Amino acid sequence: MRYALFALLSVGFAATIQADEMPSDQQIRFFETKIRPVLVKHCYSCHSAESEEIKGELQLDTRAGIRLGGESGHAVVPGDVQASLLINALRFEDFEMPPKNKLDDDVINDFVRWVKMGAPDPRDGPMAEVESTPAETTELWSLQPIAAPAPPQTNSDWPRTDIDRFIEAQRAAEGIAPVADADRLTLLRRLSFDLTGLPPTPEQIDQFLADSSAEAVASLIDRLLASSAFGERWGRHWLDVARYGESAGNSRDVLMPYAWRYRDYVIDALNADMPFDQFVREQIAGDLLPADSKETSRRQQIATGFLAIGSKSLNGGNLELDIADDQIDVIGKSMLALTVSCARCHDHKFDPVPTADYYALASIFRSTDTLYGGSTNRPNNLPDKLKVYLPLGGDDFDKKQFAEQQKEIGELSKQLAQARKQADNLAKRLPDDWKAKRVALKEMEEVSAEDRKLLGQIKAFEEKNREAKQLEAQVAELRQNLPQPELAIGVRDAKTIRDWPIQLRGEKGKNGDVAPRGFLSCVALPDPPTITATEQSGRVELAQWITHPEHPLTSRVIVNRVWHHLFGSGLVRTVDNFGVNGEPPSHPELLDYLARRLSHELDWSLKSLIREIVLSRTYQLASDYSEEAYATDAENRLLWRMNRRRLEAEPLRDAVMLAAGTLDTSRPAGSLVLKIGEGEVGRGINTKILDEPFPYRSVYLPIIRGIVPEPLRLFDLPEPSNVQGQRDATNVPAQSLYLLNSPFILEQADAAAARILASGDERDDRLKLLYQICLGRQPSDEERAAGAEFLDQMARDKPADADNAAHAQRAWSMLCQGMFARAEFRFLD
Amino acid sequence: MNFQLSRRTLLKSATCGMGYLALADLCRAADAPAYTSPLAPKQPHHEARAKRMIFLHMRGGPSHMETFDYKPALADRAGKPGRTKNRLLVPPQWEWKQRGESGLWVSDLLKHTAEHADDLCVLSGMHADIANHTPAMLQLHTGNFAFTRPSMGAWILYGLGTENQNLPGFISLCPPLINGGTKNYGSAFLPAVYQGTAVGDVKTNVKDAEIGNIRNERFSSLEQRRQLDLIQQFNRHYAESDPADSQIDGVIESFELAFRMQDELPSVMDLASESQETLDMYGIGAGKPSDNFGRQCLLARRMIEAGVRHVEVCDEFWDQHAKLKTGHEARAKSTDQPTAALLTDLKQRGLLQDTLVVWGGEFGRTPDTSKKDLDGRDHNVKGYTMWLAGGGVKGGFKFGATDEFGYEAVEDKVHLHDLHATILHLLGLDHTRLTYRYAGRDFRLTDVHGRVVEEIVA
Repeated sequence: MRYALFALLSVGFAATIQADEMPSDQQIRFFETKIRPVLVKHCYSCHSAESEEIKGELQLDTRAGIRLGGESGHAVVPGDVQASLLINALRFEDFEMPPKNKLDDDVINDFVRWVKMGAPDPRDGPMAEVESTPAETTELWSLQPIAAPAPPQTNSDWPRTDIDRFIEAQRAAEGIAPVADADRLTLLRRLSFDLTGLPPTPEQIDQFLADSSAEAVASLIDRLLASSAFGERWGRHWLDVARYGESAGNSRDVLMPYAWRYRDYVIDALNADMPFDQFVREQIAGDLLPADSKETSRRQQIATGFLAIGSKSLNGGNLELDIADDQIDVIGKSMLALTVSCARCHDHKFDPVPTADYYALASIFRSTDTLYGGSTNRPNNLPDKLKVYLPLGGDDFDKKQFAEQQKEIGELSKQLAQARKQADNLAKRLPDDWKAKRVALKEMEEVSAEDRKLLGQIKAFEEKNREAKQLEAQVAELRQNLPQPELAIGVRDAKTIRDWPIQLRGEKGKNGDVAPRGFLSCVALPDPPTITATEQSGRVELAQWITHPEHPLTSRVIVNRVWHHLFGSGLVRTVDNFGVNGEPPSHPELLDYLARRLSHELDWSLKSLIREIVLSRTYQLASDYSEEAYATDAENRLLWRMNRRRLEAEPLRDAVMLAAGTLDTSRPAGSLVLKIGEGEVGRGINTKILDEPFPYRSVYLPIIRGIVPEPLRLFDLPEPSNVQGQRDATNVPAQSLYLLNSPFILEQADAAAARILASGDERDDRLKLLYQICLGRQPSDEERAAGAEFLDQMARDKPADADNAAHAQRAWSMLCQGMFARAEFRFLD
Repeated sequence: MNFQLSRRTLLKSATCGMGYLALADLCRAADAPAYTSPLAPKQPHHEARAKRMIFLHMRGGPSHMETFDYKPALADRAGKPGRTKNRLLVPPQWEWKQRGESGLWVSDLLKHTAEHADDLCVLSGMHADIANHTPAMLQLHTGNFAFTRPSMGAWILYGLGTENQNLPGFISLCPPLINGGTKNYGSAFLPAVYQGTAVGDVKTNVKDAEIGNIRNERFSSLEQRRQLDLIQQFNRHYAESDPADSQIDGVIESFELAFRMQDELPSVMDLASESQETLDMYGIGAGKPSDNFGRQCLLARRMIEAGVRHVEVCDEFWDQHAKLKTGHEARAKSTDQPTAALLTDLKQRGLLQDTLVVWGGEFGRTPDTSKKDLDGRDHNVKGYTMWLAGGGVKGGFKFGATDEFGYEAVEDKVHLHDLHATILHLLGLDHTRLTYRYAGRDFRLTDVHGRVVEEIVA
């Protein structure tokens, strides 16, 4: 089965073993003792995946490779000694291998014998990628037009949706039976986390269980999709591939206090179900798109933050080209799953991307100004800020009024200073106890001349003081009302629009031919847009090209990303790479079906796409183990069950806080980075605020590239400078130490314990609540007993002088912490 | 599925923790992969000359002309214009002597280190690509200054794993907060398990430093064990639900490791068991200028002795554009004695032969200055010196040279990429084979560069 599956999946060279040519044990022993050791010793250093450079494009370390051969032809043709160039070379005929010493005749005779017996070879597995020429890569599956496959016909009553029909057809072909459907509580927890990143609350559990209608699941899905938590969950997925960060990162870690606007834009766009093609267009060319309202124009400007938030090397290097490179890289990987930026220095080694294409894109971005907030000299006044930031709304900001008002503030401030000084001088002449004295004098019927003078002085002081206060208020008000443009980071077209030359080997100043602005030549589209305008950078056309409904990559890539987030593994597992080095899809027809459906039928609505996927029976399977299915498809590529997945850092932290009752699900204003203000990590900024409790959802935690928050860093947040659509899921002691010892977890456990203790007096009810808020289910009898035993033991060990209530709180807090720490809490079934 | 039943029965009689894992393997589905920690020791590509490494990071750029690169011509032409009219040649500030049997030149600035001349492999033809601190420091640590790439320590850990699973495998003592900060010990696109663990920072002396979450301030060890037993009981039950899944085994193991790390890490960090003689040798003592660096060096020895793969220690700034004499003197007072003590100590314990010690900064300094008082040197990335000792390198050996003044490397040049390739080579790793596929490309510490400097391998 494994071989057959491999054949099904592979598009390149796959020499497969048919059942009738399975080598016998004896043949395999011959290969292992006589053939393989010689290959390893004498050939692999130049002709294997491990070779520094695979010589002659010949790879001898797999069956596929040895039979395919290299530049000169087939190395081994089973049964045909004459046609097997390997024998020719060993005999030092037309070729001479190994080059230095001819092998012993005995050894060569072994090879002849082996070829004659049919070259039995157990080394399955694909060849390593060899450097291929673009001519071969035009066959690359991901660049072929998206097909319109009809869902397979079936008599089975298993499928619920078309998606199921595709999945079932492939699975049934391998004779694998799916496991049972997930139980309702498992499904509820899965859907809640997948769609909103939060576990279901006890109320939501009750509500769902009470709904016995046939539409219960569908209406649950609709409710979750409509919740604002949806955008916070799925927005974060996009931020992973948008390499979102709030500081320059790499070398000088200069803060970007307005990067959060882009974060909020992404979340809002997902919540509004903005069509994905529009989402892409706004991020690449929002500033150039028509807008019917100020609000739209503002949003579209913020969207271009996508191009500005990358990390930058602000301390030397080749910043202008590096920024363009970052922009090409992020568009290539996130939207097209192609490593276009490899072609900066040379034609792409694997994919059909020549250097000229890279520089065609570079010309677009070098005709664009990127306002990322400037370098290490931080702006501290508006005119300077306007040089490095994008003012939102543009014309709304009245520069003339700003200047006038600033002048007025200046004048009033001068008057204010004078009034203060005068008041101070007047105050100095008054005795320390003038207030008491004035009260006393008011009581007296007769006032001496001296005292009258004092009263006069007091009056003069008070008048001046009042004047100063009035001026102060005036200045404050003017400052308050100073027309302030809202600032953002993003892009706009440069003053000079031009085609730039190719930089040879990627180096500045080594100019090659001019690269006219354009797109990737490997993608063939009907009626592609072309860049003709000389007054615009070409980003609009680039955005149109990427979102062309027939573009072979864009829709496949996003559909695959969505699938990946819902199943833990994409139909194409290399979610960021659809190139030659990526993996081909496990279900090519389903991928095309979904891609076409998204772009042609669902109006690019991601919510609709997600809805269709999670309504499938495939998604709603249990994660149960099946010995039979596992034996055939250990990796679950055919989706006979749901994958068990580890929750990412954000839902883990959010779930802890939700259980503890400490999570504020509203959106905080701006970002802590905005509160810290202008500056640079390690150079005089005050980051104390980062240590204070942050009650909001994790997506709003500040992502300063040099100070990634601990709960995100420890649980595999991707390096925020790199595009990474698939997160790691490591298990390391640092995570366990965090769950066992960190003040944060201890505090959350305290809060959860207090919540549970306040809910009622019955231990059993408390345990039930504990399980509901932590795992979304009831405790088993065993678990109830284990929890009770733990509490009893704690009670027995209570020091005589300990306060009962405090000790109970301590015991329950330990129990709550144990729930947060247990594996089930951070895994999704 | 009666194997699940027997599995459960077995588990009931098994104690918690590690015994479980061996047992779990027995109970796994026939061809399910057993859980292996990504940090478990791995076979090197070839026989390793060094099993572990200590990097003495002299941040800021120590002057090669004041330490290991003897330039008599500079003394002769002191005060005369250098390569440009406005910049005057600065004479070496300390006396020079040939040391040991090898006759290696070392200045009096580093008198203690000089006593180990016969162990040092001095690379005087070092060069790199950029002369600003931050990018240069990133290139030193990650091979690349423009993009975020995994650090050398992360690559080493990825390639070799680590010997002691109760300790982090890669520790950076007192790393700088600026100059790339965490990137210098980060894992970039490598899995996060390979990132370095920072202890203290450049502003927090290692004596006052703590490793995050290593202590529980609230529970006794007994209480915590009881809590952990409960957690592990649940975890084992959860693991049973899928005999093909090794992830949960990984969770279980990481809890046991963490629990033991709580004991072992503080005990490695505690210098109380060291004799006064040792403390004195390292220059450790309240008020001594070498106290902090001495502690770092001693900790480094304790850590690698306990099985940590890679330790970096870090000194304050050797960046004397002005006040070269007093500035470098202060740096030497902080680092020279501890450095020598580390070499002595490693040797005494028989560890130097398979421990690679590397000394150096992100670049060197210029032979000339624009300062009239001739008391300063600027950044120089075109020619500078680093040294290696122990783990498979020739001792008492100088390789490479700069021109007669020290402007740039002219002979047997070693680029940072070459140094990285050589370090990996000594550790048993082939820099062209130590790759990680990220976004469709195989990345390496040396990118497409690097030559193993065979000439320095003993």
